[in-house]
Amino acid sequence: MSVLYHGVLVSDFSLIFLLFKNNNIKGKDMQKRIIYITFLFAISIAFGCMPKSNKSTTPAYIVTSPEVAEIIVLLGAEDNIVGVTTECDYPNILQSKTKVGTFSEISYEKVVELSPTIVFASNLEQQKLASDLKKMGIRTEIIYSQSLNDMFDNISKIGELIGKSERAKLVVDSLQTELKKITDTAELYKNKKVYIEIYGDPIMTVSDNSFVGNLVEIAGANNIFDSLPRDYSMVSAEKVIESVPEIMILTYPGMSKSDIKNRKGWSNIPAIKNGKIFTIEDINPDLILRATPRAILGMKKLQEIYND
Amino acid sequence: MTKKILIPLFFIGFVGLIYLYVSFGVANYNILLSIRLPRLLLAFLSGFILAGVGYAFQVMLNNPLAEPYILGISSGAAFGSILATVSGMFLLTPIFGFVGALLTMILVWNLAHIGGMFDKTKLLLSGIIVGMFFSALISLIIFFNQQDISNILSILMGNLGHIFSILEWKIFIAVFIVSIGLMIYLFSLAKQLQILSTGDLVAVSLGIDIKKLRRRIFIVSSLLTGITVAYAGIIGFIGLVVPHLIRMIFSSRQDILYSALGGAFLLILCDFIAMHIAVVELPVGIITSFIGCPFFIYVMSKNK
Repeated sequence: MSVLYHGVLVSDFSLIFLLFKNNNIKGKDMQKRIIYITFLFAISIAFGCMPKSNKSTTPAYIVTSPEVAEIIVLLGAEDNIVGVTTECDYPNILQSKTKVGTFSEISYEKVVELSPTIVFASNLEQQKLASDLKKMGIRTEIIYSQSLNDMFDNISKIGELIGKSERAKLVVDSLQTELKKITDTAELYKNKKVYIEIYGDPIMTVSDNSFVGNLVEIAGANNIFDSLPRDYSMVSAEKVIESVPEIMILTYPGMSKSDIKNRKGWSNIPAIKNGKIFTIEDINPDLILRATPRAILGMKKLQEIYND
Repeated sequence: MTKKILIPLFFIGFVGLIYLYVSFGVANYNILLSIRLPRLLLAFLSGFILAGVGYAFQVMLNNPLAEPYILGISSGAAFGSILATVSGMFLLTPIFGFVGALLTMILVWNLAHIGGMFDKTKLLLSGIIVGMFFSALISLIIFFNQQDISNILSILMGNLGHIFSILEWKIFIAVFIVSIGLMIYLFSLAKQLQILSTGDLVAVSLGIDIKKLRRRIFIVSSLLTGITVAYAGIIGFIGLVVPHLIRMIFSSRQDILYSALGGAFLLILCDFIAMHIAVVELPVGIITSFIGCPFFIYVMSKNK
């Protein structure tokens, strides 16, 4: 099949060349030749340029979402992961896997080359990827957690998809036990107002419908932005100052405590007056931004911050 | 160098480039069949249409700055595609894009006919105004849908990596053949275009109905532009510069055909580079300018 196809390609191109070799071409002849070429292309296509999916027996997963990659490794199927994106950096074992691109820019050729049985994609920015992969006949599962409960459901779902349901159940059960401990003490921080900044220029924060927002609330405190036009949204500085947050958590690199203090008009915010600013040096942002079992650690850390 | 050497050299280069394009770095035939060949065909069609239509527009509007996007069709088509993208209907993107192009064409057509007169200045102004209006609408959509920014950028900066499903592929083949047919119709106007390029007065005195000619070129070219933008987004540079290049090198009656083929060649070359030069694929519109501008300056300085 493959040799045959190469043959057809070569003969097509050489035919095109022969058609144009004579350079004393008059207008009418030229038009005829163009029609020939059109048909040549049509024939090459008719030859069978159709998407096909390779059916292999061993499971092979491509994971574009760092969250899902982490969960699959936790469930013990890391050997079946054949490709990841550059953002999939935890646990370390993922860094040695073949890269198929970045979270927002994925090479379809590399995906097809690895002939995966399932591609795990996220819902953020990746709906088009999922739609394109489905067109090519590649099974694509979208896994996206907006809340802690979503995450528990998704761990079970991934467990079923990769044939590790029992392990998934164990993981979820132990996480629920840990969660119980956290919610038992959550009452203590009931009135703390927390401001999460996920980007500084423009200022972006999260609503309660985002995963981080959900963690902040479950750990006991109150995220100052209950609802926003989007889960991760731009917000004006005035709104932040008006809502008088008592704790500020910055989840992106490149911003120090003194930078925040120097923002004009922010000096009266209680969090800044009392020095309750926490940067990525105080809390690893992956623990609260990524919907993975590490979120339990993130919530413990959040409670330490509330207590501070 | 004479035409006698240039043209055969061009075709040898073209065949070599196509072979390289479909086979470079391809690990298995599944990729060749399902990704590279469709992409080659789309790149060929886009470059072929853009440079051919660019040539026709420059003559028809008697304006060296004219390009396929000048009459607003691209903005209308991009608006349609972006609308489909942000509302999550990825499968309908090309259809929305083409419908956007059609509606824009009808709008520009009607605007250009206000007052019963139809001339190239009115056409140009109507096209530019409609284009600006749709650009503003696009900016509005971008502002409210920043989470879809990478998909929107791929429409605005050009992306030949459209993934086809089986049904879409069949439709595309039909579209491809129709487009080539329309291009052949444009080529058949080459003689009249050549006369038109010497000025309206000469053309009228030689018995050419210039209004009718302009209308025909406008409709055919708009349809063709709509098709490329619907599938590949807005790819700049090709439609503006390739016709000038070809005119400088050849200056013959078949310039429009050479222009179209030159556009196809340049776009395939640039897409090849865009695919392989960086770790991630670059938007092809960036490469077209990077490669094309120095070459254009070189040819211009040679021509004096």
